[in-house]
Amino acid sequence: MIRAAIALAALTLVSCGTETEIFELSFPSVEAFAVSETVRVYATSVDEEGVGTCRDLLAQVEDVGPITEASVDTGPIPVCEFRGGGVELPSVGEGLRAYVATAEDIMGTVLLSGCTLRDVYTDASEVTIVLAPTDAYRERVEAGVMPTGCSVEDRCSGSCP
Amino acid sequence: MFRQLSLIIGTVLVASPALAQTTLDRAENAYSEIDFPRVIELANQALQEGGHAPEEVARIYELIGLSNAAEREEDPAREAYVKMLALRPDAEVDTNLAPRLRGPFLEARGFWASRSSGFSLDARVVRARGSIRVELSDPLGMAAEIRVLSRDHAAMEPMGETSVPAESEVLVEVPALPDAPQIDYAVQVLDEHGNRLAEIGTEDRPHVFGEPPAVVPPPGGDDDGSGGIPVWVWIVGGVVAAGALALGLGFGLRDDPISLQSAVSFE
Repeated sequence: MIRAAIALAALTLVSCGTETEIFELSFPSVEAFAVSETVRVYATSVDEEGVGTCRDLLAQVEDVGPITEASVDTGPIPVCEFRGGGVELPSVGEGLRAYVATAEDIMGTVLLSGCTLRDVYTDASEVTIVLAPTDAYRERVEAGVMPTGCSVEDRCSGSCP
Repeated sequence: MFRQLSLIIGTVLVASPALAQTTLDRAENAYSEIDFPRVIELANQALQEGGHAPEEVARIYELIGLSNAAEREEDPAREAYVKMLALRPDAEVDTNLAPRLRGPFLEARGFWASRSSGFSLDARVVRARGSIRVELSDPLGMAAEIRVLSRDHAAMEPMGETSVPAESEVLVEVPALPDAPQIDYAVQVLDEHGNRLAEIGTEDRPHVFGEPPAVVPPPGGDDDGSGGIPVWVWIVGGVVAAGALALGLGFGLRDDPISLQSAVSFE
């Protein structure tokens, strides 16, 4: 009887657990990672089709400012913390969500941005946000102020020039 | 009789290569004969005939670009090269060509260098909506139609086809998706003549989405019909499962919440 009760309690605990999935930030290059100071991730609900949502959200984070209506906003987090499960987004409800990420320099200038639409409860694939260079990043490349030859480990140990 | 037969066979053998030759092949032949006006005529004809694969369309635009450049028609040459580079952004100019032939190509490359987005196609299956989301970047407005081919992966049948007008982002319904554990799909972007400008998967080699259905092991050979598991295990397991289910109902039948843990990758 006691064993059955223990088994029941264990099942109850399992049924109340939290699943964890991966959200991946895909940087265009190691240089792009190295030049980024912080990354900020948002999740926001979208309408049924989500058509045009990413375009509008990216225009907002690049030209206007943070997405104030987002249901999840990590705030700026040092880029290195995102490696290996270092940052956990709180659970979001069921339904389609737009996941937006911005990588910013120390002045808060958005250098990279990306957006993807996922319903983590039904979509099979993981959440991958492909970060693409903004105009500010391209200007930086043209000005030749990118760190070169700097590995991820160098960047995260503070040994980059 | 034998003479007639050999005459027929001879005629077929001689005629076959000519019949098999497409308009694009004839344009290539004209190019190798340095007959540029003919190349322009045949390449444009090939374009209007439609039905070409993306790499063929890019080659057609290249032939039009090269031949117009050779004919000192720089504007149409540049326009053709711009379209070629939309489809084949990594194309290089033949350094053996005279500078006069290279000029329009380099100008076309400059056109794209000044733009932040090129021609691209992306498609993603949204199972929850029984659809494929297609994202198209087409700065030149070359695309006229998006076509999605799909079928149940397990079904040995031709792929069904859904066509919609080309848009930057569109959700295309896939009839087989809600019921099939796996689907085959291909996405094509067509120009106004039915040439394929870009494609993801083909009818012969479609992309496959979804997981194969779980294989249920056949029952064991035991005579008691329970697969070798004692009856009391089934009873106890059933009681425990029922208890868990009841508790689950008590907690409002909610799903486990899903949280997301970060990872970093590089393209």
